[in-house]
Amino acid sequence: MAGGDLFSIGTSGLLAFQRSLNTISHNIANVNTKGYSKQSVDLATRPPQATGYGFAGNGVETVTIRRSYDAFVESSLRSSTSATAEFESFHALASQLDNVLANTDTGMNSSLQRYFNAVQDVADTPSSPAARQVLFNEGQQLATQFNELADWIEGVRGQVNSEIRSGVDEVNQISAAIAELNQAIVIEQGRAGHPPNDLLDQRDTLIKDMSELVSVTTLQQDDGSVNVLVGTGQVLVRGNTATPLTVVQEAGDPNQLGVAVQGNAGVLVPVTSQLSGGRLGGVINFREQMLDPSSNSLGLVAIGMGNFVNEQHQRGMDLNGVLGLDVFSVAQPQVLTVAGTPGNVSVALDDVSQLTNSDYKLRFNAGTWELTNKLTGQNVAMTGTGTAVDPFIAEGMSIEISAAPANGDTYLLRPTRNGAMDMQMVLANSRQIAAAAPVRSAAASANTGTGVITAGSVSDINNAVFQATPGQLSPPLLVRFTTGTSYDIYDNTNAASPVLLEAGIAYDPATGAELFPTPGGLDHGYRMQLTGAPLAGDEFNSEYNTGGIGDNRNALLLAGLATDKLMYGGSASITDTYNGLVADVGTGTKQAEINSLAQKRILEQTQAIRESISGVNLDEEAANLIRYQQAYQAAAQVISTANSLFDTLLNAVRR
Amino acid sequence: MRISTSWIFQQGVNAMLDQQTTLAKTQQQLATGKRILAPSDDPSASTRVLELDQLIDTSKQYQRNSDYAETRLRLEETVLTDVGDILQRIRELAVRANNDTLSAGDRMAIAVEVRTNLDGLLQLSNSKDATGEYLFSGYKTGTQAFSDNGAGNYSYDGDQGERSLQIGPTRQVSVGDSGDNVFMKVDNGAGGIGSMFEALYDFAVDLEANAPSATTLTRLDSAIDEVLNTRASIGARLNTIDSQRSMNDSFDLLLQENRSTLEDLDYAEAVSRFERQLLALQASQQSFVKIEGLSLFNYL
Repeated sequence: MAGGDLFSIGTSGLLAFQRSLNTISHNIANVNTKGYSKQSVDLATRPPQATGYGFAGNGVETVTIRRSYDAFVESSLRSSTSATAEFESFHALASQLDNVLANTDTGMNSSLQRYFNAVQDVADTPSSPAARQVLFNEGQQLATQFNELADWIEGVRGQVNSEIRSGVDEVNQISAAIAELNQAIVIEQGRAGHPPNDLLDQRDTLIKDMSELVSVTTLQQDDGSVNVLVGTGQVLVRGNTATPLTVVQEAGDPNQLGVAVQGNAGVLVPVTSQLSGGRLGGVINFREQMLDPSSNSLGLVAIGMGNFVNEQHQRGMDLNGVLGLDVFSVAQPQVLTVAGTPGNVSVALDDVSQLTNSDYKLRFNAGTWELTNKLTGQNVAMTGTGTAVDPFIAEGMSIEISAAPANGDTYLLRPTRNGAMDMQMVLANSRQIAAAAPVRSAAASANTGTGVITAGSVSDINNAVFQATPGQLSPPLLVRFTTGTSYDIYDNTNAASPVLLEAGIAYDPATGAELFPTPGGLDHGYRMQLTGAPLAGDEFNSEYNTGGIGDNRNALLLAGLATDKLMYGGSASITDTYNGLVADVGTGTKQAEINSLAQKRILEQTQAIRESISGVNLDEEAANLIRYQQAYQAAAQVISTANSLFDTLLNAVRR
Repeated sequence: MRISTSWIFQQGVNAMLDQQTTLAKTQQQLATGKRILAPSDDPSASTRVLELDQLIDTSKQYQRNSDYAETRLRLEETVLTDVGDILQRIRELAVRANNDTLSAGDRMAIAVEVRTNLDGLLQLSNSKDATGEYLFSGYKTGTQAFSDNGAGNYSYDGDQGERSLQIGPTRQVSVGDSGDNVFMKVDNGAGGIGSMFEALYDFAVDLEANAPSATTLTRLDSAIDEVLNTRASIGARLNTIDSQRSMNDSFDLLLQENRSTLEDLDYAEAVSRFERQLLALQASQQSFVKIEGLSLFNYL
């Protein structure tokens, strides 16, 4: 019947437009809701009625309420969110190092420079107590500055650790929430047969929040749930079950936190190195690529400084007339046990000039020990056999294995990590500064030739000549020319009757001669050059530098350490090594900044695309509001018309 | 492309935040006068600045060393000038003493003056510098250089060490002469060598005996030569210090210029950049307000 159809069609329009208006209101209400996808009502014609004259339309019906959503854009958004968060957190931490290392107040440059300047001042006035006290104070100040900077860097490591702790907490909370939503979505979708749009949006938002913490992959399941995986396939959420991440100590180091996931049978599987992206990936990368190398480099500078200053200082003589002592304490390498028995491996510094700023992995595999440089990832060749007598030697370290290893035993070696942290000045007072050399020479007054002898420098302070009796050479020497081209060397302990040690050493006035080593193989651990043309009977002698408080030869050599190429196999000075650290951190920070800006642009672009698909535009909603309001009014008019038609019919019959 | 309402808002806010960041950086550059605020701003330039800082600081230290070296050499020169004056005076006395017309009493009077001068010479040879170090005892600066052992015997208790100072990257200069070389290597008139003090002592003894020796002048001339040679060598070293100092100065200037080019801000450029960024920020603020005010709902 036509009248009934009209009511029915009108009502179908009213219902459909009301639904549409409700959805528009829902959109408007959620214009500022994070992760909300614009919804729209899909309308379709109702099944028509077949009549003898063809199909008569039956009005409109609501098919479904659809959210504007693009799975591909959503997953791009996740990955660029991960990448942006990763570079931003890397950059935030890196710029802290960047700002501090080159700063004149906090960096090492000015302390190193002031120390060497103070050494020069002592060289100017070696017996002046004031100059010595300044150098003594600068030494203490230098050690303190190393300690403080190392402490500060460890503070940044603390930030990394707390980022890992809070990041893992947040990931676990989000995993649990996603698992709950999975359950709700499966139930709702099963019950209604339509996707629960708002729940889906909420879940997408949670997954995006998680991407900000760590890069994830998702697997859409048929029942509507989504599985979430991290790293190389470790499951965080499967259906309505969440598997929490756990914070663990790496290699038993409380300062080095890592992340593990619950594996089969409750075994914790470490996944730190598999995590990428997000804030977690960023801080872990930062620690591996910038913090550890920086901390090691600073340690390397401190160890280089301590080691070479000590070596040179030991070759000197202090104001008390005794041989120089150690100036600084030098930290020994750190060994951490990853797998195996702690204490089976011990590592000592062998050759500081060969040390690098890397950590090393020492692993026993298939019957041999393998050493891997963690920065380059390359295996490093070792000489020696690893015994106490013949230790493994590689990259400046000497490694001793004290017990039989098992296959898979793994140790983490950190040769320079504690260098700056543990540096101390160990000299007791400023009189102990060894500005003088312990040996001096003299030409006899009665010499008639033009021969001269240099003051001398120490080549090996451990030679028995210096060590046998403190405060003297054992023995002092007398050099006597027998002709203009030949000389004898005597033990001059008793100057009244020198004892011949080696006779007939050839001398060429054109080239001069180095006193040691002699043709007969004598070497007293110091070097003196004879030059000029001595005549027969001319004498030269060497003796301990007793009373030589005005001598500055050793101070000059100490000052020279500022520019001597002592590090990295003779390619860099101590200060070069520090400058290299500043350059590395500066470059790394700059790179992180560039990456972070680039990723931010990509993220903004992806967000714009996502918003163009899923975002709510109020002008659009306003227009739709008018459109459906008018349609609603028209449908109401249809009901009214149907009503008046019905009235007309009734009135006609009533008569 | 379709744009959502919240994105219009977000984009406007993002633009303002970005502009504020760049503006803040320029402002900081203007406030510090430095182009490089952290190494990451220009890693290679900032490492270079660190190296230049070290070089500048080191060259300042070389200037300090040069100043000290000059002070010490000038002191030694002053002492040796006095020594030379004494020797010249003695030489005049020696020439006069050879005059046959002099009586024994005249010679005795000259001997008194010679002995006074001998004391003065010994004092000069044991001069100390401002820090209390003996000038002429080699490395043994805490040990008195010369001692009068009586009866015309004088001993040198220093050594032959000569302290050098670093006054340039590759240049060291000796800032002392061992007393052994200056005072102890005088021709003794008998084919050997002896000390200046002995020459004066013997001269006085001869005068007191009224028997001037023919070798006295030879010995005095040799002593004067020794002093002149040492003074010439000091003069040469002072010249070296001077030339090294001016080298250090011009090197320092060059380094400072380099450093300034690398690190210092070009104010003209920075101020115009600042103005430009300020304008951009104001423009995005104004456009934000205008765009945010637009809404179809205003007309419903």
